[in-house]
Amino acid sequence: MTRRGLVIALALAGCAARSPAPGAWIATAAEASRAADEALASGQIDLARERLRRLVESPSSRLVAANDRRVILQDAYFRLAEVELGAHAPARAQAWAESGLALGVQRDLFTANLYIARGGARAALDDARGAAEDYRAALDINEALLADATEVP
Amino acid sequence: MRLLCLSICCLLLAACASAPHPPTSRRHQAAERESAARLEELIAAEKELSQQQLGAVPSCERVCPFVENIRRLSNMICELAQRHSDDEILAANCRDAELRATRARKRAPSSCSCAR
Repeated sequence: MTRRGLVIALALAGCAARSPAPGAWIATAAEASRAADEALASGQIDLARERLRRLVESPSSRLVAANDRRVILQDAYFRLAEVELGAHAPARAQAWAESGLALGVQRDLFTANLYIARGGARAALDDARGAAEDYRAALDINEALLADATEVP
Repeated sequence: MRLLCLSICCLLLAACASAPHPPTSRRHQAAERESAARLEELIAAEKELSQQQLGAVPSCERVCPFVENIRRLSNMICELAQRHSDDEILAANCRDAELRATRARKRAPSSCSCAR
């Protein structure tokens, strides 16, 4: 749904450029993200899951800006949820998505992606109304972002 | 006497005809300078307005991903409603989502493919 790879690469590059002190955690996160991409591309679902799990469980530097940390981790949680949805494990997908949302709900695509992932999990768990609620939350965010994008300066 | 008057008039007329009219020329040059200045002002204003208008039109690259996301989310909501056709709440969600997708498409500049 989003150009996730590009967004996370830019976010990571932005973080790394802005704050050299917490660079080690950010570099580790970037490496884990890249390794998960490779594992997914080669069909190694377990390896991808492991890489992403290690990323979300790794202690981040206190010096990492809170919002940078949130978007990096929310992207990882979203991808974990996607991995579980692909593996027909919607309950685990829902749990990962909720962990991501627990980091903070913001009006951005990272949050929207988590709503979509949780909606997919809820739909797979026969909670159609819950799924619709999540899709509507994601739609709200996209609508607000569209309004920003079309705003006349 | 008459000849003297005639001579004076001729001299005066000749003097008037050959005079360079400096005040009139200066007025003309000043008017030209003023016109040029006004033209420059107009060109600058038009340029500024064009730049503002260019900036005011959002790019398709910026807008279309959101329009597309909204369209896809609307479809996802309506698929749920179709699967549970007896659920009025889901049906209402679908109608609302479709309206919002249409509205999103209309917000995109008409030159964008996502606006069609």
